[in-house]
Amino acid sequence: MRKDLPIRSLLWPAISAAAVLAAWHLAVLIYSLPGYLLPLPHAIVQAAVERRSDLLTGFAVTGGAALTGLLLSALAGFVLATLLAWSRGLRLSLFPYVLLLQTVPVVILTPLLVIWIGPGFPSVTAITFLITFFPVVSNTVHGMLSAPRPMLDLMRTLQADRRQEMFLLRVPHALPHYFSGLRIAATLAPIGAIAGEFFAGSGSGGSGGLGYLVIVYFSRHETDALFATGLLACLMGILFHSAVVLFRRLLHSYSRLV
Amino acid sequence: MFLRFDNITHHYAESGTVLKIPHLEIEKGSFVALIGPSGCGKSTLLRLVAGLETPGKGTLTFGNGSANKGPLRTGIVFQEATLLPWLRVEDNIALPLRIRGTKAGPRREAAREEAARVGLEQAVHLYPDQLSGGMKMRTALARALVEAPELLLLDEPFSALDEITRDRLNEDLSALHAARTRTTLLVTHSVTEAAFLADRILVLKTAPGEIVADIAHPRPHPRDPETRNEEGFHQLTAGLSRLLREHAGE
Ligand SMILES: Nc1ncnc2c1ncn2[C@@H]1O[C@H](COP(=O)(O)OP(=O)(O)OP(=O)(O)O)[C@@H](O)[C@H]1O
Ligand SMILES: [Mg+2]
Repeated sequence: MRKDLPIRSLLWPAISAAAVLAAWHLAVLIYSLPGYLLPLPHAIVQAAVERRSDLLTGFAVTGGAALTGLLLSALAGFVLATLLAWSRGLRLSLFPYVLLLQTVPVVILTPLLVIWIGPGFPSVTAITFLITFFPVVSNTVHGMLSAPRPMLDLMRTLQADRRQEMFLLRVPHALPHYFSGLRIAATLAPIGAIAGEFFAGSGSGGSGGLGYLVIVYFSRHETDALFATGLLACLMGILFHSAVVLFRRLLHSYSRLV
Repeated sequence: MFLRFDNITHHYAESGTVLKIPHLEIEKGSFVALIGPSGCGKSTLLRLVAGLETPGKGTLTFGNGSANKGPLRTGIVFQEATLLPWLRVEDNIALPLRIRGTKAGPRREAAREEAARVGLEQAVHLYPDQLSGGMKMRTALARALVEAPELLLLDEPFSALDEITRDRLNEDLSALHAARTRTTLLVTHSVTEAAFLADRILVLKTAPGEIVADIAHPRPHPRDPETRNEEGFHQLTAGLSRLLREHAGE
């Protein structure tokens, strides 16, 4: 094992981050941009520190709904994928609706959900779920259907029934695809939750999430705070993504399934 | 009689008639090699026997029994090892038993026993990506044999291996055949492999695939590697090569 690997792998991102920040800083100074157009990096940090309690609450609220929606997708997406891969009939009759849900704009879906299941956590979670489950389902179905021909022939000569073909071959073959879908879903989850909060974020007694804060800061032209909120949303996506990757590594150390 | 072809013709929509076998009988316990130019229908013939294709016309009869229906137990090895990458060697070998519903304990025991028979006792805990090409084929062979099949189908199982590994596996296969004689159909491109292993060699021509020569080559198994150096062996392989050249496509 090479011991210097972690440091080396951090070196280049650190250099590029420093370069970007320096260029940013210079651009603001050279063109003397006002703060409401493009705040200086340290002004963003300052704004974040000043509003830390709002931002932390927002992060927790949005994070809770995003994580719940993502977990629901991870479970329901897998079950639905298994059903779709199981039967061509189900695939033909259900997949159009899966696609429909994915293509209907969030801004139209959210108000409807608020009307049906109320604002706050339930509808934000539902939006996150609806946005994240498509990549999970479609990747997993593809993985199940793309089991190699020779392996399917093998199962046939061994006289495996459909259930065995599914669970001994197609499901394990699809697991890496499932995780790819999950990784995409993880980066979509905060986006979905924040978009959902534009309509459904306030109310139900509790405090607003990041999406709600965006509306507030926007109305006050607090650009530095908007940047801070955006960075927190990015952080959340990266955290979710890393969690999926780590979970997959952990599983891989136990088995070759993923 | 173990396996009989009657008036079999097989065609694919995209390729037309690829195989024509008016009559062929294969004796129980015989080791039959099929050689012929690429695309002459060797794999198709094997797939028909394995029940992976249904003959377009004609009947295939097994043992005492039923037309167009596979025998009870068939072991098959394809050109690629087709091991499940997420299973250890022993679990790959045990796959047929798992499908049959054998309990985990006896399943593992049988798989280990079979692994030992093909020289893999040290490798049972490895995953396929940790195996050499030869070990992969040994695993596939053990998986095909673990249920003690009545019929063993081998479709160019060793063609991706280097010559030394291939010779070694040929010798081991001959020894396995001697220990538990079962009807074996081997598709190969190698005349030496066919001559070393088979009791009977069928030469096919192409477009459509038809048997043009049926050569008996009885000799007891296990066969001695030295037989490869005998005069008779050279004559046989030279004759086979000549037949192949004569019938190699148009
Ligand atoms: N699924 C299929 N659909 C259409 N045509 C096929 C199919 N499988 C095989 N063929 C055709 O049938 C013919 C015989 O193919 P087959 O695979 O049996 O040949 P082969 O003797 O095994 O060749 P090789 O030695 O290269 O493996 C070929 O012309 C091939 O194109
Ligand atoms: Mg072939």
